[in-house]
Amino acid sequence: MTAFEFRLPDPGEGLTEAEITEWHVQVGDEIEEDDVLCEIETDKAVSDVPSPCPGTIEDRSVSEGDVVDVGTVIVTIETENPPRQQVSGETEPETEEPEDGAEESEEAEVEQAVQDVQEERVEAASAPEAETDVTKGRVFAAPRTRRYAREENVNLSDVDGSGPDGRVLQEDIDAYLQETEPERVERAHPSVAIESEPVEEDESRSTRRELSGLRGTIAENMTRSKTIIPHLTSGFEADASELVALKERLDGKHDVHITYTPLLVKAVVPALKQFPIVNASIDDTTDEIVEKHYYNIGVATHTDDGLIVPVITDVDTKSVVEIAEELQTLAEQARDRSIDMSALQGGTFTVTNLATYGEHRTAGTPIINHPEAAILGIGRIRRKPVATDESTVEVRQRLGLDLSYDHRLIDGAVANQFMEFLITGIEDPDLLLSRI
Amino acid sequence: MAHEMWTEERPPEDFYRILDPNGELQTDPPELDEEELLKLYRTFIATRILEEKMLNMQRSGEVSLVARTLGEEATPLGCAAALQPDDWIFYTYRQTPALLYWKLPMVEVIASATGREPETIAEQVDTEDTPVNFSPDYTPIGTNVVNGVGAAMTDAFNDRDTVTMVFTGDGSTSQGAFHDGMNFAGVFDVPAVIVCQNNQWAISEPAHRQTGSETFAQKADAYGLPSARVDGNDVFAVYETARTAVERARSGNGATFIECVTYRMGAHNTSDNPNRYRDDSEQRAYWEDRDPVDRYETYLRDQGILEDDTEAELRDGINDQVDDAVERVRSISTSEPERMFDTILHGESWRERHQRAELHRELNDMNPFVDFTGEGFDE
Repeated sequence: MTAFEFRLPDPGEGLTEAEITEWHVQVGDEIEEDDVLCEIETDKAVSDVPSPCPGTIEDRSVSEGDVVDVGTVIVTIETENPPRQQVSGETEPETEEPEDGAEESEEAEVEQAVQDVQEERVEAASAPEAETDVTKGRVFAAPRTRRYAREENVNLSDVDGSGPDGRVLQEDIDAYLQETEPERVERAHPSVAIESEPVEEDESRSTRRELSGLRGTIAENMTRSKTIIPHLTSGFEADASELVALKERLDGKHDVHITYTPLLVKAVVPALKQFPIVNASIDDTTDEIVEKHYYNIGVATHTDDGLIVPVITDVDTKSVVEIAEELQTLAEQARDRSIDMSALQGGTFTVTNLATYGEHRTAGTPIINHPEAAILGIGRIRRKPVATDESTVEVRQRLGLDLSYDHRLIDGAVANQFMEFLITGIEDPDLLLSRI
Repeated sequence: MAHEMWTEERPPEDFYRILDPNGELQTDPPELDEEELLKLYRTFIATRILEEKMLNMQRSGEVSLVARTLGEEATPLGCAAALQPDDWIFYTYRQTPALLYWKLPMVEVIASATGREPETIAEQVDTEDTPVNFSPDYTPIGTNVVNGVGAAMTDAFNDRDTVTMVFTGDGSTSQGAFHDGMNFAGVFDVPAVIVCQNNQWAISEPAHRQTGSETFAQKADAYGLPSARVDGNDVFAVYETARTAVERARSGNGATFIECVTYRMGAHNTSDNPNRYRDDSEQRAYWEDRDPVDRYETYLRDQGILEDDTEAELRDGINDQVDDAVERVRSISTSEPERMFDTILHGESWRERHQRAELHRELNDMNPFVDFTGEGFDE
């Protein structure tokens, strides 16, 4: 058996790169020759990439949405029949410098970092033996068992196989997990104790006051969120022409002032229903994922004392007008600090509208309201030149959106799908209406 | 520049047809026995399976470029079947059925598409000569007409009674070489059959933008050549027409021009995306209804010549044959670029020696561009 590294072939004549649009195989899948590995899109066309050999998918090296240079390893196939042409292909150097992917995005870096952390975790768990696959030689196990081991973050070489010739069985992995359980749980929640350092200031030209009250709470919440949740933020831009028109129409028909916030708060709910993981939480005390089947949307509200996030409960059961009214009341109460504590709790997702506070703002990285899974930052609707086809630039109203999400729960691809779903509703009120 | 999407115009259907799209006979079928009929069917299916496999190999990086015959198979197949051993076929990249009909081994078809040199293939694969002669496959299609007509003239000068079948397309009728070749064919009673495989598209150019003539067939009038216009998706009509033309050529009465009306169902080749220029939403269904394999299969089934188990057996056999060919291709050594000089000339020349030396230095990380007199490399 060989681990065959399959490099992205030139899909046409002289093309240099392609976008991976969809994977058709998962790690661990057994495949036949010509089974479709993934779909790619080039300057010219969308096409399938079939496998040149039968085998088992060992690794997928690139993600959906990645634009990959021809010759980059995209998938590793464990196979008995590696196609010779690519194995002996000397066109690409074997070593892969990170700089190779010149346009490696921050997301990719973060993902790499997360992967590194996971790998460290695995290594840490196996530290006592200080042996790896390489030193121990190949460990035999069925593909399904390998997949299970990966899911459980277990290094197969640490497991004593009870099968023939030391073959590792799934029950061996379970036994190993049970053995190492306490250690693993502890390691799953690394609490990094950072020693506090004093601020040394010029006392004659500075003042000190207690970090308390609302500011203290904000500081604690932010620290908690940023410490526990591996954030990833993705930026989006939607055409807002239809949304603007909708807002104007609705605003003209009701006493309460209808702003974009209640519309977007309402628009988010169908997307949350479609992608339940965005409306979920991780319970760190039990290592469980909690999917919530109710939709309480927090709305970040700026007050003189600082940020407060009132929560509108059960948004799915309320009309846009009701949401607008409630929002107005809650915001007033937040500003004069008469708001009830219960109105600040129980959110499942948060929206933060920053349009009012930054005429020149372009994008940001909102911090998730822990323990929620995501937060949506809304920018100011602004006229921008937009290329609407190959040769036409039109002035359009555009809405910038930033989604920060808990990358433990939500993969980049899912976040993008969530946002694409949301944006189709924003750009087409008929669609939105049919969903709410 | 904004895209302009083109919809082709449907070509007139007043052409020669024997087997209609429903697989029903319009007139008497050609005199072919059951074995011959099944051989045609087998070649149809082998073409589809082989080309599908090669497409996959292109997408997984083993083959550089693939152009498929999809939807046009009846034209090259019917024409090829009208030939006799020792005849010549000047083909291009969309006549796979003609190759397979005359037993060009699949291993050679695939191997050359993977970039292996003909010299290496010939050394490492045991193949027998094919019953008919094939030219190399020319990509600039118009060239075929001049080369093929010239080759046919050579045979006539040498009193051979072989016939040359020349494949060209709708687009190449606009090339100078087409007119040169047609003119010679008309003047000198050349033993050739020139086939215009009119698939309506010259890469991105639809037939109605290719010519102001009502049909391609009528172009033959200008050269004093007889012509025929046939349903290119009807293998019987193509065969009968080609057979008559081949007989005419062999008996010394000169060349014939045949327009076979068909349709390119897929992309021009794997580096093309027709969705960028072709709006065939209205035409596609029309041509799918006229698929050459469907109607032929229907006919064979109605005649009781083909049944489910014979078809399954035949497909299994072809699949094995393709798998076997791919496996053999993979065992052939890959590129040795210097070998390209081995058989390019009969004898050798200073220029060839010089270029070979340059390439040799290039491949061995030496500067190839240091010698301007031709003497420096003589080592």
